[in-house]
Amino acid sequence: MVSWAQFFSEFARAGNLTLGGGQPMIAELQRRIITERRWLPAEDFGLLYGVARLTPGTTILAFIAATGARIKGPMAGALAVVAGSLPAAVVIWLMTVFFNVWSANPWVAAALAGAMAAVVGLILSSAWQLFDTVRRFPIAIPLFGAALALGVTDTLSPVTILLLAAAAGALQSAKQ
Amino acid sequence: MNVLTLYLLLLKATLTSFSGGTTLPAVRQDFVVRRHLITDAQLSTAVAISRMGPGPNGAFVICIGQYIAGTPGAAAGYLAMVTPAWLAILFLRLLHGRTDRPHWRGAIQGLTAAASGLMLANAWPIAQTAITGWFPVLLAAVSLAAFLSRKVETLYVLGSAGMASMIYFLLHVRG
Repeated sequence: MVSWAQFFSEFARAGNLTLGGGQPMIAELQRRIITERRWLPAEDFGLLYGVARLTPGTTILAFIAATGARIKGPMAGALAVVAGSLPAAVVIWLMTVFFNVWSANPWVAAALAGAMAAVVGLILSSAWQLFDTVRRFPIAIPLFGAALALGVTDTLSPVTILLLAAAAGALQSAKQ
Repeated sequence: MNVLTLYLLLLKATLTSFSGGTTLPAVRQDFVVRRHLITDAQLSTAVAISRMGPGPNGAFVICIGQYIAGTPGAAAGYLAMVTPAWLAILFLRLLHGRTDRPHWRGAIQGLTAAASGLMLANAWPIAQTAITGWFPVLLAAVSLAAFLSRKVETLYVLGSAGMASMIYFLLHVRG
């Protein structure tokens, strides 16, 4: 039986101490919970990962919710999300307050200007890495191009574009 | 802005995001373009802060909440970030054994392809704010190469860009 202390410490550790975004956190949870502690059988990973990818929002938090629920039930899954995200959220909040207060300082402003330029590179690389995961999907390029054109011209809202693309993707798969 | 409205608008953005990071287009549309509550500079600062800190990449909605409504706004942003995750518990019951069904996978793949196009569309106005000379162009290009290589932690890339910018400021502006 997994104790509550162990349960929360695993999710808090992976969710708040792992840098680099969702994939490293999922890898860390898989290693700790499935490979080392054996709280779940290895074959559950595919189901949990699939559920996390199909859930809207942040994949790692959905993975934490599903994994926690699989180990100790739905309420534990809901609480695991809080354990896996609240401490990091407080740090992000404090950083935002700090940058707000200090943004007029020329040294902080210079550092932020550099980080903002790097964010442009980050967004471009994220767009490519996201597209790379689906580039073999038959209508990926037309959907990418249409969303880019509609996004640049502000013709439709992003939510409408995403929902239309999801419908087109489902229809394409149904035809195959 | 009312905190409940802020939460619902941020929730709309997080609920239409898949595969991480794709919350950005909806946030920009609602808060920069339509309501003018934040600027593109604040949006890119929020992304930078969330990527420099611990936790998931989507945490920039906490910064957006803070910019718009202070501490209650940051709490609304946090709730908007975690609310969709709780759906996974429901999905775990509903989708057990069905996650490989073709139309589900097709819908997610279609949505992901469009999300990448939207992200690229959103990079342009942010770049117009952040790229103001040859040095930021160089920083953006080097950062893009570093991120694409996947060999360098995001924190190090953003931190190095910040440090480089401070050195540039020291040499060219103050000097």
